[in-house]
Amino acid sequence: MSLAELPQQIVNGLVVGSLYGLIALGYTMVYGIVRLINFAQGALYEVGAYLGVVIFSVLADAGLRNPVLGLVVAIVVASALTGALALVVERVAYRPLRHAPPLAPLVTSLATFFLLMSIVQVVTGAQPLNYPQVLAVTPWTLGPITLAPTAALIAVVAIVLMVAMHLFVQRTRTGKAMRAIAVNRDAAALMGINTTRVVALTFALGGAMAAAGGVLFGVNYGTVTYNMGEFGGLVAFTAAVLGGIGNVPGALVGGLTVGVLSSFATMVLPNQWQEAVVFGILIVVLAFRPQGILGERVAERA
Amino acid sequence: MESEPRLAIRGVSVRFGGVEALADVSFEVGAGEILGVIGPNGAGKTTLFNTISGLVRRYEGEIHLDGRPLRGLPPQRIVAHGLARTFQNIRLFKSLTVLDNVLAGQHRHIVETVLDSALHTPRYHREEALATRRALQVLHFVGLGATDPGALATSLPYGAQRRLEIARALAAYPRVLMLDEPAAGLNTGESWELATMIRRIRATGLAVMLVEHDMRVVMSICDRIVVLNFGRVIAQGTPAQVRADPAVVAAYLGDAAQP
Amino acid sequence: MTGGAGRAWGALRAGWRAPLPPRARLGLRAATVVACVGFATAPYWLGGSYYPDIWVDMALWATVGLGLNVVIGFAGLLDLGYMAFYAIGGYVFANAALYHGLTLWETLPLGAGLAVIASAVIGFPTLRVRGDYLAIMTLGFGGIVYVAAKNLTLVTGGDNGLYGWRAPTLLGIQFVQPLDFYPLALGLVVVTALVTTGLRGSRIGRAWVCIKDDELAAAASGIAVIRYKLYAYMLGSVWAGLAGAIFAAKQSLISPQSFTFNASFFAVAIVVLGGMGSPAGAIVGAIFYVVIAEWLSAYTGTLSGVIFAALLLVVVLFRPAGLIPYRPRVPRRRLRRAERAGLPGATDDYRLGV
Repeated sequence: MSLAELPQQIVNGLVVGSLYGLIALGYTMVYGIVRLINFAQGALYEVGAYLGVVIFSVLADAGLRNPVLGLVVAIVVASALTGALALVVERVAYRPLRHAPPLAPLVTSLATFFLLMSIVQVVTGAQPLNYPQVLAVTPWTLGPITLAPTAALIAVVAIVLMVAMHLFVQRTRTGKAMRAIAVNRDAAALMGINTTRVVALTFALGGAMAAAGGVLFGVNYGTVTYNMGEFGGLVAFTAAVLGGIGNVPGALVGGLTVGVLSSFATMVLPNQWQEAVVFGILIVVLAFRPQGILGERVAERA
Repeated sequence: MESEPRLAIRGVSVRFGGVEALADVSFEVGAGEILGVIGPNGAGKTTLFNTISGLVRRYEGEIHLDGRPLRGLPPQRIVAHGLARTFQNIRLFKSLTVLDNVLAGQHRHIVETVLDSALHTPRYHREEALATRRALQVLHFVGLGATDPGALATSLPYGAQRRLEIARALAAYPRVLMLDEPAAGLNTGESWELATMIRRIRATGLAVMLVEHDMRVVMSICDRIVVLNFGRVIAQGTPAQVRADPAVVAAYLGDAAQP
Repeated sequence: MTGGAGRAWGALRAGWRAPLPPRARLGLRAATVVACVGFATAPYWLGGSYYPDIWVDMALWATVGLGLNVVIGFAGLLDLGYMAFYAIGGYVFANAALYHGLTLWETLPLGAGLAVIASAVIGFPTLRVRGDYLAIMTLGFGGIVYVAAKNLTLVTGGDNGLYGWRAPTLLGIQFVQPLDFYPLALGLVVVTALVTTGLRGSRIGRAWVCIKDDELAAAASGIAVIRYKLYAYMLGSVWAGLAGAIFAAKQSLISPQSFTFNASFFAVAIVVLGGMGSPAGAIVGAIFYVVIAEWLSAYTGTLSGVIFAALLLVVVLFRPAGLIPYRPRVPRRRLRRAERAGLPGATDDYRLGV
């Protein structure tokens, strides 16, 4: 460990952190409006990453070689498909249990998570798959920092998507409906908001963002594995909690914080302990500041 | 009052953000007395109950039960001091049987260690047998003597669930019993049976405090009434005094004559 | 007998709803006993060499299910890191056997004790938070234990795990083959079932269910909610510690692979599948799990994960109370005795003059 590494680690942390923030959006939006930890989010992120591999290879077969265009197509298509899958998840695992005891939807979302992960494992034979190299340009060097153009690209795309989502929630009619449901679902329904549809849409948007995160992850690291959703999902959830669950800008803040903290951890501890550090952050935050950095106190609803 | 009051509320104020839910509320409840708390919706009645029973922990003023201060105690310690309550919207333990609901009320009176519980020692059998007899007596008292003690609590009709909730509170052998709208949802006949039961509870020497919207019940059974409006006590006295109080008529009976 | 059993089966299919006539009830009880004894002794009359591991694994998972049932089924706390306590029991055994020459019999209380201490340490700060946050925190705790198992090489042997201890003996009999451990594991199932059912029918068990149903009303009935949650957590983890130690002894190898998040998920699934709060359900859930994950996977491969998760989803959606729903036990004999002891006929006091 040397202090000279510090700037580089911060940059690395910010890059992965922006990805985690993107996945965290799904947790935070769904939790914000229906108070459910949607475990399936981790699996949707993984499914999105695998769909990305398929899309890239289809594009390559079709002769499309422009890498940036390929990335855009991959993100759009993977997000659309995963968003549709998230709709199915909502329809099957959440909607029928709206009035069940709170443990029931938590268990079904966990079961869905496991089911999707197992399906990916069966379909791919548990083999890691490779992403094509999108920008094969030599890394930029700025004093002590090296930054791969790909990494810069994914951070920019992730942040643009998050800002877009924030504007969507704050500025559009549907976004306003989401915020209304978050405050009081029954009152929102009485005001003529189709709450069922808005809730479903929230799941879909969360799934779409997770898929985008999955594709960007694949592009950044070059490989995707059948259990990436497990740890990735948990880090993203930590990000959501750290930023204040239910809070859209909080997802970005939390993601960047988790990214930088775990990147620092690799300076002090051997790499294998990085997961434990994230788990530790999660436990400490939940125990001592469950409202997160930006969140307000979440009162237990009587 | 010559003897120590069972429950004494002195200058209690509660704020939620900028809203003053209770402002300088003071009154006392004595043994063998039924005190009614009335007031329009939002007057602070439920906040008052929640403050006394320890669900609202931040307040100014003093609350004493049998002369002992309750400040800072969590709800379960307040129960140990001798206070039991029911809820406006019945809150029975829905996966427990009728019998188990009453036994749960006796929680603090059953003396079992974890080992007794795990191994069903002779002491366990003794304690459970005694608790069961006590539970049956309480059920008998509230008029559920003919109900199957093994039925699920939620399988009972509405009126019986109200009685069961009172039975659960009585099973804690409290010094003060607080009933939050016990007649809500009951028909006229059931309301009168309830009134009779509350009188029988008073006859055992308990201090009873109740919030109720049904004016006929309140006026017929309460020894004294406290009227709240916007968190303040605007009148207290016997039913006759309260009914004649112009402030009460203006603030409460005038605009909210509905039962 | 056959008539009784036939009618009992009919009632069973009707979902246990209708009260059974006495003869049918007797038939049902007899059939259940025969089935249980038959199943429990199956490894012996099936020849023993037939999937020897499966039987012990069923018993160990049943113990895990029964223990976790205290936490989830009784107290309503979703614990996604339960297998951490199983790991603790296992590693305690391995260390004690390898480095201190302790036998399994000396290690069992040690493993259970350490599991309980660990559960108190992790439970104390976490049990204050909301239910869904608790699920995530326990998940994190399970993750930390898994990472520690992989990397604290000095204590855990890292990825390779620990192995090479001498087979435990009792009364001169060596425990070598998996099936040698079967009577011990089965005994643990019986003890766990008896003790946890005993707890459910007592003051502490009632308090747990009160907390699960309504924390506010529980506190208003005089129950110290957080303290009783901690009790549930501790009294639930004992069994995982014991089962983990036997598991390590049977495997004669212990490695982190047995304590992944997946394992904790399966433990939860066993409880929910069988029926939350239902001890018989936990046992049936464990049997289902082992059959699908170990026996069926010989034919289906990785598909067994899909099958099990889908089964769990279907059960929660269409039979939320589980395969064998918990039915409240009514102490009929105690009630009869109380009636016979007589109550004061008058209704002028709710207090009994005792």
